Amino acid sequence: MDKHAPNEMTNSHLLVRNFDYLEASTIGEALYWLEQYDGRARLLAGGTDLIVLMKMERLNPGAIINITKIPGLNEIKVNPNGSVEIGPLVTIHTLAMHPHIRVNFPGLAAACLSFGSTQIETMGTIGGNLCNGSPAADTAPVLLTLGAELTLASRQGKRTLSLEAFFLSPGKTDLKPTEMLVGITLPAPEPGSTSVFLKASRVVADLAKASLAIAFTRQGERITGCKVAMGSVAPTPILLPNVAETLNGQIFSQDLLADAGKLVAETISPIDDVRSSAWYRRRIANVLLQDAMNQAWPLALNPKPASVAAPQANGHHHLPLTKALGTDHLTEVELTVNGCKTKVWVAANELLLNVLREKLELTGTKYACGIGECSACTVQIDGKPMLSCLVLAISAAGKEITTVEGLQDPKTGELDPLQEAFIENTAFQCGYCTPGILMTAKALLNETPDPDEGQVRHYLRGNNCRCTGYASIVRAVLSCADHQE
Amino acid sequence: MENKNFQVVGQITPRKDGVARVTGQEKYTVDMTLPRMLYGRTVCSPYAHARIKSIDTSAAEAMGAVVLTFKDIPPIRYNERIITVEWALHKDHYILADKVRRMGEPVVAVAAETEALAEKAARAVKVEYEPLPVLIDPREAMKPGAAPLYDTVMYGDKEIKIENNIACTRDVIEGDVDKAFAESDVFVEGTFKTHKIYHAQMEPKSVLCRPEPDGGITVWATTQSIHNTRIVLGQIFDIPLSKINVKRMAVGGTFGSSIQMNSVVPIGVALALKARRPVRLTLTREEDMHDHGRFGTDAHIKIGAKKDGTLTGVEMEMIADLGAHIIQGYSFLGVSIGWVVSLYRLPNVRYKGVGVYTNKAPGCAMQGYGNPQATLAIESLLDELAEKLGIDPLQLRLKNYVGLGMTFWGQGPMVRSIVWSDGVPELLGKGQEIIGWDKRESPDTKSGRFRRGIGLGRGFHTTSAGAPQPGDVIDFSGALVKVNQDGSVDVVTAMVDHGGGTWEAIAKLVAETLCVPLDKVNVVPSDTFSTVYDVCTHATRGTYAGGGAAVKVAEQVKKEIFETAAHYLNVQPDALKLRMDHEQGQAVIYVPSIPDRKMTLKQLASRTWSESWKTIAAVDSYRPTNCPPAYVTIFLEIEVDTWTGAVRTLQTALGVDCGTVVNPDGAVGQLEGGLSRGLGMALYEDNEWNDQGQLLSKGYWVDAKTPGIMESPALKDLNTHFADTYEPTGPLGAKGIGEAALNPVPAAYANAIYNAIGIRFYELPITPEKILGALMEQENMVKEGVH
Repeated sequence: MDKHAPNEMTNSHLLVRNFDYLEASTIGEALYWLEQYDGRARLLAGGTDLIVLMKMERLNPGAIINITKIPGLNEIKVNPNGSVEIGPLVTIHTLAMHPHIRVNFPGLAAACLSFGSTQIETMGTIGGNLCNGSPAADTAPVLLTLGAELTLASRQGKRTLSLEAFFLSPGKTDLKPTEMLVGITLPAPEPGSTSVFLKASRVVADLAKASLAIAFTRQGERITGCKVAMGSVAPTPILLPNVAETLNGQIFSQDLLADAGKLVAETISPIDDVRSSAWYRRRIANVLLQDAMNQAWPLALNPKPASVAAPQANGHHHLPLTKALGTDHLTEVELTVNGCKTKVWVAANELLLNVLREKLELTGTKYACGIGECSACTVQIDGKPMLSCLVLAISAAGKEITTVEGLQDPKTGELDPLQEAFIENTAFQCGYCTPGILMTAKALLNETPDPDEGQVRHYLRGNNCRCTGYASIVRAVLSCADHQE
Repeated sequence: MENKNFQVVGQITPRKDGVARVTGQEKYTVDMTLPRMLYGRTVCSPYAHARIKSIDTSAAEAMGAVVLTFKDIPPIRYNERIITVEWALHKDHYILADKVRRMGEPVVAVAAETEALAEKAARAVKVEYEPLPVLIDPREAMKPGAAPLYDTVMYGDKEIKIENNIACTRDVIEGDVDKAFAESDVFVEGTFKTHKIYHAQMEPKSVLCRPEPDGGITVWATTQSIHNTRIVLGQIFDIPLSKINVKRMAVGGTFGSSIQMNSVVPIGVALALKARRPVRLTLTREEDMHDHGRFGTDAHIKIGAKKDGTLTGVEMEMIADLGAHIIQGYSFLGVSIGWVVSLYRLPNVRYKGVGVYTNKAPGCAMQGYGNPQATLAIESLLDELAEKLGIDPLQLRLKNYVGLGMTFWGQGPMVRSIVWSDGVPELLGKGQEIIGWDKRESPDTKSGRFRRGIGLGRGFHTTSAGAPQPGDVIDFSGALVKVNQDGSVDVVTAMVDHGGGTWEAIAKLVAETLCVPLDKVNVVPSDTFSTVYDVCTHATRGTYAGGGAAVKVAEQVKKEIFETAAHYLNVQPDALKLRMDHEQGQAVIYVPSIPDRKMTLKQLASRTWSESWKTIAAVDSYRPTNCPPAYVTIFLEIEVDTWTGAVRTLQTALGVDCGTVVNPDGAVGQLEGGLSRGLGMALYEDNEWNDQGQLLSKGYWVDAKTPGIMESPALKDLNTHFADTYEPTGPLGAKGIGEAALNPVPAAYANAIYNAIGIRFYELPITPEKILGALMEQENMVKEGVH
């Protein structure tokens, strides 16, 4: 490395560069624009990777094509033969909560629940997680073991590709600049098969130091149909066929797992980086394999309940094609914030957080890290907790946005029971993270009115608080759940 | 004197700032906007060490930005922290860099109509640098011939030369260590290292400055001290303090990082003065992470003891990594030995502390100010000594700790006082019981993948830096208390509350003293115009010194209430008493022996008003003459996964002796928060720098993880307890908690890990990588028979 290369600091509070913003209402439109921009356009789904990379100025696309309004891409379809088609816009949270996925692909649900925060789960999409091409993508190892196939579309037509062939190198996939991922297919699982996912990270809410997935079928004491894959231990998420081979057809035993674990460590090619070291990753890979198999083995015996019906497709609004909007131009958008419709002029690169704070003077929502890692900026969008520092204001048009200022009863000013509980339990000190925590906890209580301590902690795992040590926050949310009974 | 029949103090009450904080209405500096406000941005150095060859601002100016460079700023070197007195103060800092000494150092500043335009203008500024060798390791920086960060700095009003990048040194000798060691039977020693970790306060540093028509300025700033901010600004900009008003704001956590005037403050002021318009300047998280951090320490410590466990003396050499500027390095060197000799009786001391400049973020106080580092070392060594001598570590501590009636060093060699209240035996006893200390087994009895260990960390923090005589540390406070016409009370204090509930404590202490219901006592918004001096909310002094000032003044108000009421009730003032009447929601002034001679405070205040007499009020300063230790004991049971090196917290007993507990819920919150941050320091937070002087995290939170909600122990495993003590020098018997809550936590983890796996760690953080590496080494040694 050149010791005299300058390290220019980025500005995580803003999107500095100019780009055109487009909204596609059909796949065809998205593909048309991809071609028009000739490799300089990027598709926007959840934005939890794209906007972060743009803030870090590692990506500077000429255009952003918002595909979230294309109908039909956020569905999970279970075919009669048991195969599953997952739309690329299905969010990580939807996948994690989906009954069919939870029962038949528990490893995939586990991987989804291991994301850094509930907010990333609700914003991030399965397609985005794969197309980002990160070696640490949490869903990748399980999907590799499940034999996922991708359908990629371009103006020239469609092609299918195994997920294994999709990953090329860190940040690089086989997706051509003019292509778009339009579907993920999981082949019908073997009867009785199961899957498991484990991850080692610095703190729980974090990127993986190493992650590992296994899919297999338990036949008595024998392991069959086994596949093993890992993340964060090679330039891409990788399948480990030699390890699977060691396990396949064998009688389950701790010695067998120990041998397989050793083989994992020998097979992978991890590196030293800010999260861990190569030698540690080898050691932990060995342990992950043994722990994952030990965790999954007893559960694999239980007969599975009949698969549940596929969820109903959501309704979709058909939105007209938006004209390319540059960041030098302002456009008027209508935002619904705390029940009030407000018209506001925004540039394409303005973030919802800054528009709320600076233009609508709703300063309760806070900037702290700017890259979706601390969750201080959490607001609810259509009832789901999301990171307003990673949302383009223009893409929030037409959605219901609730900020901390909207928690009180708008007519009487009466505090929400959750707010009361935070005061009663002194669940704040400096108060700077409190709005984000309230908006996240409120979403939890809406989803799960009577959560236990584990559920509260898991849902709030991405919300950083430096003052309280979190205990009082857990107490407040739990006390509120009791009140609501 | 000792009266614990309190009506308000010790009660759990909803915090007065609660509604603002749960509704998003609390205003932090970054939330403030003003008409015609401009947005500021700085041009940050992309090098950690470089000479500035040229600056071209023409493109930025062409965009309409106001641009500030070194030639526009007052040519004054200052120290942003003026708690140390002038004669002991090193000053090496200009508002904008004369030469770049750390990554991200502001070189140019701009202000423009929008944030986006300011960013664009900042990027249009062209700066030519001549990169210089980057010094990351203080030991390298001290070597003769290493590239100097400074030629000279100011020391008081003298210019002094800097040799070998050594910013300051401090030697302390007490008694005769050689003699003490010659008479000792056993020694323990070790080299302990801690890193320059980041405060990770949630609010990035911010300032808003409005130039006033009279040539003055109004400043809203993230700060722990409004008066010190004002004084430094006055010195730099040569504006009379009577024209500088610094507003007291809500602060989004500091953990020590805003004791000094923040680096953005004078830049924002200079921009506003040049633009003649209000300017707001806020650091990005990337900038904030490169702007400040804890002091890194590298300390060799040797302790001698007699066979019976009596400690004889200590020898300590410490190198402190100050980073690119000296903010409070000199006093840091002093307190570091102070913490050591105040933990345990070490009558013979030989200490050498060296503060070294490196091309990293300037070090500043972070919860404990060297105390967690010192406590880690001493508590680890005490466990080693106990093992060597075959004494229970808890008994060894009881035998040697600095307790009741003993002299201890509060905040360095010049701040000495006597311990008047001591809950240590009670805390140790209770913790011992909760954690099951007596069932604790030695590490060699443990085997298998998951091994449990119990560890104890005992520590303290001084409450304030008060002392009988003035020293090199300024410490006094003040308050104005006034009775309003309806019998409610305004408390006007400069004391900042950075989250812990300092204002709540002050309100309770005043309510208790004046027998006024808590909802009628308000700590009102204030600024430097309306308050008398308070040094800073730091040093665990908020309740003790700020509350002490408020109680002192409230007592004066009480006297005046009696004198005034005596006039109306026609009795002697000394015959009057006050009581809280909840039904009337008033303080009632009464004569115990004559039941009908009474009036409410409202009646009194309303009469002195309507009869055009006076406001019942008082204002005064308060200098604490003591700095009592707030003692904390942390017992932990942890589990080490010997396959992965991961550590899990199973059971905790967190105890504090804070004297009278003013806010019980707040005090529990301090202990729980201290555990979380101490856990971060012990196991997770590293904040490493590469050889170019850049953070490996690059300032991104994703690689600067602090413990989250998943790392905090389950509710059922969190046990907090208070010692039943009364501090005679404190307001209504109170001491502080703050920093004390964290200080022994890293030591407790280190000792618990040792108890689990028989390996002692001398460097923080104790990551799974380090644990696993050490376990593998241990395994190899066993295999090779090298036991």
